[in-house]
Amino acid sequence: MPNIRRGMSGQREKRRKTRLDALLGQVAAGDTAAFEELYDETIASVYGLAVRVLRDPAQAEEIAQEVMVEVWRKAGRYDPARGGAMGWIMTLAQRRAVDRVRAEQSAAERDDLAARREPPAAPDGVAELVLDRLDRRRVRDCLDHLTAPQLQSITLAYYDGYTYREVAERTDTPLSTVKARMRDGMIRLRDCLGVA
Amino acid sequence: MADDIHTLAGPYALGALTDDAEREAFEDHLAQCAFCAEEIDGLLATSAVLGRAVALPPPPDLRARVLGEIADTPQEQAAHPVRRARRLPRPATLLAAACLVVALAAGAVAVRTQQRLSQETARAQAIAAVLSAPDARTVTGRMSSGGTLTVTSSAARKSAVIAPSGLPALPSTKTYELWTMSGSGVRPAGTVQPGSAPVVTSLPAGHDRIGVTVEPAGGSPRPTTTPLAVLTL
Ligand SMILES: [Zn+2]
Repeated sequence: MPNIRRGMSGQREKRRKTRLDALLGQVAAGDTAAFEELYDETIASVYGLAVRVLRDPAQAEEIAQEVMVEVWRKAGRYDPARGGAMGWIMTLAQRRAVDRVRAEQSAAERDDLAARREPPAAPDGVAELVLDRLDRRRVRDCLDHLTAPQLQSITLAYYDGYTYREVAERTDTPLSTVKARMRDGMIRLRDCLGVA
Repeated sequence: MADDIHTLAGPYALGALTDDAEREAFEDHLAQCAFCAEEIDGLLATSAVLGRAVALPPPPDLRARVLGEIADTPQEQAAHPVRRARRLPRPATLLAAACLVVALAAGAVAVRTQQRLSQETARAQAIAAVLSAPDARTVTGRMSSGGTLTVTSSAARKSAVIAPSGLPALPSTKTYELWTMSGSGVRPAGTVQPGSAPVVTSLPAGHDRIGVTVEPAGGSPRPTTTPLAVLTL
């Protein structure tokens, strides 16, 4: 297993991570130019995730705005040992999007929306802004290495906003099994992607 | 501490805990459990990739609105300076020790032979002895090659627990080697591979730094490459 670990475009990813961490430090010191650069580097991911979770571009735009303002306000509280700058920002984004979806939609409505409204597909070339072609293929390949139940648990939780308890109910699976699927799946994904 | 609180790392990294109370409980646990703290760093970096994978072009006017809003938004004071190293409060070290033993017992040990099992138990006890020492302190550092090194050390116990995480894979002819360092010398402290469990090493008097290098498989008696990280204890 370790011999297939290659990492996401190694050096380039590492440079990006170092730069984002440094930018966030400058933002914490009130540097608005650094904030603009950080915004440009992260907004497509923040907005795209909000669209994926909420399946509503107008609400996703509000959430993206709230997240970026929260990044500005709380930059001084950023802890680099929590997945780096990108880990922190995407945690804020996922949490806000999911809080909104839970507040506004019952689980049944979420099912219904998920079934009927596919999120807009990314136009060709757009996600290359964020992950180059090789890395997107790598993410797909790594997702393919998960077991079907691991993939289902991870997707329902991260993109659809279900808690692990809700995932357990929906899939008629014991809680401990769902927790283990999520953790084992994420560890497998981490090792395959070579992040961290 | 519930015995299975470690298993919440997956749901936490996916934003899938039940409510704020459960999230805060797990965050308290993270402050006390070096094992989970290490793991969550990598798992949050991983869930961030899931977010990046669905990126979309943002509405063009959003940028101006965000910049307009932050111009009028005061920043919160840092709760604490960004930490490179932190000292665990006393009660936390005991919890951390218990937590590591549980983690090792629950995970790595389960299906091993009796002999391996007693080795693992001895190692878990050695780890617990360091983590519960009155003078235990923990430092974390990033390696220049990627990955992090977390070291909990106790001068009283003359030992350190070294927990690498997120180590990039190496060719089979190479290994990561750990070192303890003093002003006058360097001593080998064991080799580790990606995914290795924490290593316990003795800490001779005056040895106040831990380093890691890449060496030929099997390890070297002395470092032969530039350290990827050196942590001062
Ligand atoms: Zn733990």
